[in-house]
Amino acid sequence: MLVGPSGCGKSTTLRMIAGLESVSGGELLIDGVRVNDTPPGDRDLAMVFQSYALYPHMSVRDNIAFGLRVRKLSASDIEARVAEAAASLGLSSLLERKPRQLSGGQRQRVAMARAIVRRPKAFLFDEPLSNLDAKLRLEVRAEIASLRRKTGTTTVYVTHDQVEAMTLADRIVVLDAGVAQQVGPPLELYRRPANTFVATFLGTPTMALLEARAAGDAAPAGAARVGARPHDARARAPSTPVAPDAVRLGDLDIEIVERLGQESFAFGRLVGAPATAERVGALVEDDDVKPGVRLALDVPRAKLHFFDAQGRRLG
Amino acid sequence: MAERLVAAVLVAVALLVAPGAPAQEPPADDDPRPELVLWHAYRAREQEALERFVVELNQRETRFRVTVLAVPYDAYLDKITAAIPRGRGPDVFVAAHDTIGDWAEAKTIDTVDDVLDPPMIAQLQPGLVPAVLYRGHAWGVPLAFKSVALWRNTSLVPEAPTTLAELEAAAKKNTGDGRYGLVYENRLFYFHAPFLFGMGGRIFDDAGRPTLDRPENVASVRYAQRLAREIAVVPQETNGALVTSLFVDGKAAMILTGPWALGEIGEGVPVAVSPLPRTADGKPLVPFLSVEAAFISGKTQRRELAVELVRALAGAECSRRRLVDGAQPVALRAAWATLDDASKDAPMLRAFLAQQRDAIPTPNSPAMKSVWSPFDLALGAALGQGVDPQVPLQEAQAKVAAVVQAIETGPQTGSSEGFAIFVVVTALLLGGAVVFGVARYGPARLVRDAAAQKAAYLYVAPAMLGMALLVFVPFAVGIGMGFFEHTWGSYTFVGLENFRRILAGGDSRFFATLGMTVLWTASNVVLHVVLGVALALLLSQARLRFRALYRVLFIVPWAVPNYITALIWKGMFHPELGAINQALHLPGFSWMNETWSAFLANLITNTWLGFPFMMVIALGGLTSIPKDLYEAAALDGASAWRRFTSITLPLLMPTLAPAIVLGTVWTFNMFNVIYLVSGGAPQGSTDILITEAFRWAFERGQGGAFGYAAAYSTLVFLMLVGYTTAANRVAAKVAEVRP
Repeated sequence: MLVGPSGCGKSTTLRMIAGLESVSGGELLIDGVRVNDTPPGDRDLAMVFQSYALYPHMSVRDNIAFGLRVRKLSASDIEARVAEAAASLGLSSLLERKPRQLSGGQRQRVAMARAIVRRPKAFLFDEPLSNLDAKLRLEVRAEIASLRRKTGTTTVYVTHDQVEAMTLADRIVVLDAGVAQQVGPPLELYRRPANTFVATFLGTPTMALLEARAAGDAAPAGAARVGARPHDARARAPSTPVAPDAVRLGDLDIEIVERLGQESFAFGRLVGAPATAERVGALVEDDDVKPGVRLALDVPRAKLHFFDAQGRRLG
Repeated sequence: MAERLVAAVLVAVALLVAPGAPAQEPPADDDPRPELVLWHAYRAREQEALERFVVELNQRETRFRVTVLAVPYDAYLDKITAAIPRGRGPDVFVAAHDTIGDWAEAKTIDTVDDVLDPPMIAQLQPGLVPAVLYRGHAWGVPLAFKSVALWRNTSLVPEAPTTLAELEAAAKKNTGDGRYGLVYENRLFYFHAPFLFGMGGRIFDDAGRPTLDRPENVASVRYAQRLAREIAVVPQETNGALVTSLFVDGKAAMILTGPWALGEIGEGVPVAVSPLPRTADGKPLVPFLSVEAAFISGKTQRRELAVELVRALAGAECSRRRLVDGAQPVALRAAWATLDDASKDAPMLRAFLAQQRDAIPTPNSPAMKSVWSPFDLALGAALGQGVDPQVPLQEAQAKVAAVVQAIETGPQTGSSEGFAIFVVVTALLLGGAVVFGVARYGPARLVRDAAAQKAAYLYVAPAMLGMALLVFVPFAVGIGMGFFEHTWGSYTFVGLENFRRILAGGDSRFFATLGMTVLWTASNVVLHVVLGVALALLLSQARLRFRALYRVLFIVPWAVPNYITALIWKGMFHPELGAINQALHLPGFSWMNETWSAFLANLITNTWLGFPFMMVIALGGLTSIPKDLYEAAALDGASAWRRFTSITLPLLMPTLAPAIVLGTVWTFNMFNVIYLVSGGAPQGSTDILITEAFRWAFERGQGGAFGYAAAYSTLVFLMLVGYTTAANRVAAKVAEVRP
């Protein structure tokens, strides 16, 4: 799973894997074989495009069968595999339609059927959910997840949506400016971000970064910044005593309170911080907190993330 | 606002339908003299001389004043034929005599027996008056005469050849190295005539019946074959412009042409003109003589004054000016005495005067008009393909005899009942269509909607009016003409006879021409599309450098007017002087001698003209195909060819299909290329329907088979309507694949 902000090079990476873009440096290996100069058709990969790239003049059946026909499979094989792929994605009744007669979700499924029917070495997904509305996205996401379970095929998936990344990925690659920042299972990246970029990229609301000295003696040597996820932080009345395993990072002048139903977040700037400093978020237990009050910011010691001056994780 | 719009519409209508509006100066209010309008088609010195005379005439003349209009030569005869019967032409005009028969029959001109009386005849060069006689009357007063004579480059041919043997010798000496001894338009009867008459040939017998295939005529064509093919001193496929340009470039030692070439030949080469040489038995070569005469319009309201103007034009002062200032060989004998023999023009003018004694006036009978085109075709066959002249001349004879026969039997008598039925049926059909349309829409709704959309109707009114006048009315007239037979200005209703003749085999050429038209259209459209799409694919490659430049270059052929392109290609296909034969090392190969090669020449020309349109359309279509489809196909393992056939082509078709329909219609009616490049050669076999219709109307004599040509055009129209309807249905199907 490749994630990163737009322009970070994740789509380019995927297209290099597919062979649609030439590799500008280094080696691209598939199953240990260098494929830098192998044409896309010979790499045995299947790609689902952001736009789906369905052939508009062909029926759903022909769209799914095209790759098999090109590869000169027998008509009966093609027939069987198309039927199977269509059935597994609930497309059996739509086979004679043209793409323009399908809804967005249906098109998405045709694009997936077209990929799985080939039984390739790997699937490549290029932001496949970005053209769907929120509800459909959830459905198709589940479908992709179950597809992966069923086929067990390696999948390279590009998204800028961290929820997709967290829910679908076995391993996430966070990219920034063409450089992989961290590779690992989703939870590890969430819990132990390797640098400030990964720390602030994953997780909503975003982790706040403060001067390390706010953590007082909890900060290890060399720490320049300290980060706390709003989910881990608590904003409480300044009179409340600090819990033994927690660190009080300072007092917040609350400016915004977001009530999400299940939980509520308060955002504000640390007292004494310049007006340009970013807002720090924390969970509030009291539903009556209003902007304008001053609350203390407490974070369990174990949930603090420390980074050095270069933004690298400490500890 | 509405009033202003109405006013604007009214002004537009007034401008469009205003009667007359001839290009003459408005009469000066303070000039009480009645106006006479004089038309001519002279240019350059001849024009100046004539018009200066008129200016002076206007200063001293008390009875009338003259307004002169110089009409471009190409449109001149048509304009006279069209304008005078509608009362909008000149009172007096100057023209060559050979159309007198038509004009006399159509009463376009009035007799001038009272002007051309014996005293006047006595003052003219002998031999001119017969030219203006028709059916026993004089119809014009001779002003000047013109004929072909021998022009030579004196640095190449110092002495004028006086016999054909000397001519041949001089020509042979000067042929070779890209030079030609004798250049003339040997495939035109007009320029061949001196040989024909010089060798005792004739076109009509004493009874006025055509005798094109008589032995002397055949012998004269054999002689032309000798000049062109045996001793090969004459280049192939000449035309007027080529004759003068070769001469000016010093590449033609001698040419046959008339005084009209003077302006183009200029001062570049040392030139002398002499009468044509004589045959072995001492007989002169006899060119056609064109007598330029003053004619009085059959519709003039001021005939007495017009007579005075004609007398003035033929008189001493005007003749002197035309001769001395205009370098025009004039009819009035006395004027020649005023010619200063030291002047630069004098030797040339004297040569034409000498030639006139051995020239015969072009017959002015309507039958003569049917001779030119068949005789030209016969010359083309004899000189182009080298066939024995006997055969094509017999064919020409048969064609001309048929036409003359038709003229003698007179126009077909139309049935007035038939015409009445035609009018009633047409009116019923049109009326029925209107009533049906109104009934379907609902009369009440129609009135209501029209009232509600008054402003909209006012806005489209000017355009609708323009369309009606420029498109619908001519179109309806054209369709209507197909039901008439036209001869010499009179229309006879013949019902469906024209269509019956065309379709039921009365016209042996129709189906052959239709076949050629279909072949022509299909091969062109296929080539245009293949070439256009191929180039569009190349130009859409992002890697290609200078793409924008190439794109512009490839569109250039389309941007040049197609008749210019056609003429350029015609020149490039010239057997000896054309670039194509030089590049292919095919000297002397005549493209226009065989149907397949003439067709190929047409096809190449029109492909050059036609591919850019398809290319532009295909480029547009290509950019609208999403790039990721190609990427998806590449991942699916499709080869470049497979990507083209499975993606590019099907997705290009919605854009291309309408262009193909359009291109087909254009090509089906691509008059310019056919007419200008092959000209139907050989023997009309590469003509398409539209050029064939043109030839029926304007080139086959019979006073213009307008009705027959209109029937042709109507059939072409119906075929194209049928084709477009079917093709649009297919195109709509194809368009469904649009993403």
